[in-house]
Amino acid sequence: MNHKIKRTIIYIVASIYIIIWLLPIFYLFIVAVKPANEFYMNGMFAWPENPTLGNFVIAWNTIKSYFWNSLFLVAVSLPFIILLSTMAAYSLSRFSFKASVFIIGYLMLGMLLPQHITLLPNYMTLKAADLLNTRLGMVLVYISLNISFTFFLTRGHFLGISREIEEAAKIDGCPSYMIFFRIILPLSAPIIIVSIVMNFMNVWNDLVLAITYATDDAKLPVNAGLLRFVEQYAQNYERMTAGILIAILPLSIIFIALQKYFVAGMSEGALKG
Amino acid sequence: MRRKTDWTPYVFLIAPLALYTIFMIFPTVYSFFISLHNWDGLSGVREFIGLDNYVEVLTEDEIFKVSIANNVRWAILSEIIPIVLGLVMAFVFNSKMKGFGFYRSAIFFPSVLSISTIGLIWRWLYDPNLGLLPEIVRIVTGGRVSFNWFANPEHTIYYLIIAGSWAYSGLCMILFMGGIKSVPEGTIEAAYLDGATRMQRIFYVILPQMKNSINIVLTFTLINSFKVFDLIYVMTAGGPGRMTNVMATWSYYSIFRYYEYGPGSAMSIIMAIILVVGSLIINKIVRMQKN
Repeated sequence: MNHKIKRTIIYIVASIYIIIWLLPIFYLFIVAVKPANEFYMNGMFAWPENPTLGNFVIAWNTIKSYFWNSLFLVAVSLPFIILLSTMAAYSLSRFSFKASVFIIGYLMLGMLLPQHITLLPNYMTLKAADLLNTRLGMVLVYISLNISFTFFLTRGHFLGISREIEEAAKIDGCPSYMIFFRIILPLSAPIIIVSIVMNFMNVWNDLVLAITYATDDAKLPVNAGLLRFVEQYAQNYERMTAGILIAILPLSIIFIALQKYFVAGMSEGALKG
Repeated sequence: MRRKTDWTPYVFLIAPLALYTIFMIFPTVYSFFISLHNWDGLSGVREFIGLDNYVEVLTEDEIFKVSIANNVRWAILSEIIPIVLGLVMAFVFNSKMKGFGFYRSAIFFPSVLSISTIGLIWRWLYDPNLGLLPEIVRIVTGGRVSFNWFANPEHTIYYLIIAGSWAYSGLCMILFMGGIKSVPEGTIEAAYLDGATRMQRIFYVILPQMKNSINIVLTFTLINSFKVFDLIYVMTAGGPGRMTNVMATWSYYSIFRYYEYGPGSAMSIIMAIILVVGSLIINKIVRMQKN
């Protein structure tokens, strides 16, 4: 009996703590479902009297183009980030040639250097190539800046894969590029999912590259677009909060479904950093 | 029989190295090149002036000094607030009780969101007119205390650090939980059998054994503190009175708002030097400790 009471108290205290911890998010929800002006008329703490999804509809109409832009950028850059990084990781974990140590160090620089150092020169490069405000330009930058992190993440894993299967395949005359596609990649499914999750996060959550290389409203990805949306509705909290909630939806869904990969990826990220 | 050279690694390396070189390494070198020149970006006139931009940035630019100071404040407070909070939460929520997995996810959740969204949320929570926090403070204190994060521009940076800590503590908790898991159960059990209390077990048995993961989190946090950008860009844009700038934001505004290409690039080079040299030193220390 005593034990039961203790358990109940623990759960109550923990739940209260979580509610306070996530209060900003809950509060977003409460405001977002209020009809226009209820926020001002009934006071900010009032429970929504006539909950509505209207704010989400209005917010979605503005945000959807940003949203699709981001989804497009993610969908196009992710396969390239993963493919190019794992190709490099395979080359530099299974073959050693004169320059291999140098190239590994060269790629390591990319993890130490801040992205900020690339902003102005890349702006000039993209401008010279007429790629500012284009999806292609953004995709190129996203791919390039995420290669070194993904390279180290996957190379560490490749080094740990036993070589017996490869040796057997090699004796059977399987060329090395086939070994990469048929053996190494399938054996690395978990680390590749981690890489996908991490890079999804990097690209979806990016702000600085987007605001630097895209100014055209039609080309803005979600975070940069959300900023504009918020400026537009600065006085209309119901719409603003609905917009924020829409913007965080995709990652929230992925987070709920693939949480353990987030944990693995972010721990690896800390280790490597 | 002559063995044929396997070209696979070379072919595989072409594309990734080309992209990485064009968009990461070349820009770094080019930034350094720009930092040695007097150039506003608009006119074609570009004059070589050696290290003058560095001298100017480090001695005359008051806002850059403020920015470095803010980065240092950010580093110190981030080493305290989210780390302590994360460590405490890691021990509290590391329970095997039913439902605690959900609590852990809930705490970790903000760490997954984009920093710019976190910034928007907190800017709105702090809003002096209709923000949640000023309103709570007003009600709790009966209107005697007014909460205005812009009232004293020199203190605004601390409000930003609190917002950042909220987003970051969950990640710290998860990283520390990994550390706790790596401590062998046997040692904890032995201490328990010897009559050590829960607190004693944490302080004398578990914590010393998770030194490794604590070191990693401290290092990671330190390095990230010098990269802060999004949160400040979204919440204050460096204001009020430019007092909440950090190196990354001030360099950004110098380049893209004031077209001070030379000084702005010099700042980003200084930032890169701090980060690269800092990481290498820390790496070396960690390695020496291991031996």
